[in-house]
Amino acid sequence: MLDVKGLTKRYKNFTALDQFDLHVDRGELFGFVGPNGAGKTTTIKILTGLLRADEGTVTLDGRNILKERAYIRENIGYMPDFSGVYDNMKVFEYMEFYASAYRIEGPEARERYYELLEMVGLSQKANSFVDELSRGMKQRLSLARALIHDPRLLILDEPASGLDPQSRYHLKEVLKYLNRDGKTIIISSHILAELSEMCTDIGIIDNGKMILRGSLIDILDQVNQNNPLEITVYDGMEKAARILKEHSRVQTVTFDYHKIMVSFSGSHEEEAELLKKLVINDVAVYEFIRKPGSLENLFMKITEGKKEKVVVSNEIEMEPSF
Amino acid sequence: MRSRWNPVFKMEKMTSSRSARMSVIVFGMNLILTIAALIMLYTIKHETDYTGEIPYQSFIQLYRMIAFFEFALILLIVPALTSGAVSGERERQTLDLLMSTKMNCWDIIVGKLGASFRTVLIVILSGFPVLSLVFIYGGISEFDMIFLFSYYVITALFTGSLGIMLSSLFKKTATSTAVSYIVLLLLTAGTGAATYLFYRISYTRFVEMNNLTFYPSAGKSIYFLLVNPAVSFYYFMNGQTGSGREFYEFLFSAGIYEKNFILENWVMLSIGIQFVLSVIFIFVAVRAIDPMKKKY
Repeated sequence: MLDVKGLTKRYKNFTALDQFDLHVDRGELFGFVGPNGAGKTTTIKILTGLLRADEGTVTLDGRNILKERAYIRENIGYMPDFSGVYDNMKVFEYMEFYASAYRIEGPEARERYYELLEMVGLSQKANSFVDELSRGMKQRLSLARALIHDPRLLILDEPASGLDPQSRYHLKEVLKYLNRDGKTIIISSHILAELSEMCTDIGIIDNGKMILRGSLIDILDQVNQNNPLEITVYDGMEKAARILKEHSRVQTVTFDYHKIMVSFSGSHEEEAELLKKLVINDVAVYEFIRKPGSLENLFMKITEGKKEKVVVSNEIEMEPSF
Repeated sequence: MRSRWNPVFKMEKMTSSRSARMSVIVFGMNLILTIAALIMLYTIKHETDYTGEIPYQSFIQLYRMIAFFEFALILLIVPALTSGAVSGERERQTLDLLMSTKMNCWDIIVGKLGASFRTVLIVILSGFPVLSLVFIYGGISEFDMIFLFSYYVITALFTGSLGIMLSSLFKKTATSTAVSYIVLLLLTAGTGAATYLFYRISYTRFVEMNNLTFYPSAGKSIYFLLVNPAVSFYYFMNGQTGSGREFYEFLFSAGIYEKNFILENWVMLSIGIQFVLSVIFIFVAVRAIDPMKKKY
């Protein structure tokens, strides 16, 4: 659906985007992650036609959107991190204004914005003034605004920043619903835990380059594989130690009373085999878990400076950019 | 269905009509005009009671005073109305939202200018009933009033497009407002001062040379005043309410004695220049907000 190739943007002597590549398929809920100044907002502004790129191509369904701006406006909905509002304007008037800005008028506009206000839970506030709404409500209104022209691709820049947990939850649910409904969504955020709860795919950008991109399941799987196995043994500690030390996939073993921490580089299948071997050899295994990793750990790890190219899986690649 | 109205204009119309600012400006201006008119009428009556003559010229003076007052008001309020038009959108972080819709840069600039224009026209038109007091004894025709209104429209367009351009070029409303007033001051007092300076330099040379064939003159610097809406308005008003000689007397004082095509068609040329400059200002404003035209 969206294909970005070799995107480059320079601000005087600073290169914000350096041959940046991105591919987002139809129906994906893509999490766009990166530290401050990594190039997320620059990318989003170029994708939404609000900034000129120095080099590269961006195609949406095969059409070059850097040249066909009208196509961007028709097919992309944009929600910035902070949506300003006008004084003296009611919620329904705000929606009506943006509908008319997309050339949607009359009953069609009314039907569309009431449907959207209902979806974001603001239909009861249609007659309230926008500047009286809470931050969370304003963000939901901004989301409804971004959807007024029924875009195929929705781009959200830090939509949850500054929101309380309840508003975040509500926003997350609406985004999940939209994704189920067929919308392709790109969402940039610092709140990685939230992204991992809703995104199907993620990409990590740093220093203007995409350094990791893949499906969330594969990435988290890989994160978990780098974490130690934690085995709690009720009885048969010596046998367990012997088996573990002899295993070719075990790098290090540390003991802490009933607990054994094992650095194990095998697959899920090999993990199962190891457990089976321990049980067959009369080791009373009480607990056998791979400590779950988080997107935060991975993010911190890869943005702190890995020099070598790390292949995570067939589809996922980490490139050195530091 | 395509909108018949510019969405920005429609929105601005709606939000500004809810604000008290417009009512305060209209009320304040008309209050001042009415008080001035009542004082003038009282003076005329008082004079008539004593002399038995009706001083018709006083009604023309009343018209002149109100016309100048409204002209000064345009120069004062238009920059305030327009200098925050685009920078205000930036400060509110709504400009990107507007730019991401199907509206183009022209729609946004024209909508903003139209909304400011509308406010100014309401303010000006609201003062016309007081201005119409001149019709009690005549001396000014309906056409004169239409011409006066047309001149106001050109001045509002000129100052409004200047304000919109500066609002597009500067990120902060405070900066664009300050620069708008400074530029307007340069266009009015500045061009006047420049002409005077050229005349004084010429006069100094005249004194030093002691040559009777050389006479001091502001020379071609007088044409700076073509971009000065106040000077052209003065010329225009002299044509309507004076003998028409006052402007030439002003030129004589600057050492200009010979009439030429420019001096004879001063108002029309000045209006033409103001109109061309307005179009240029609007083009610059559109270019300034177009993300594809900006390097950064």
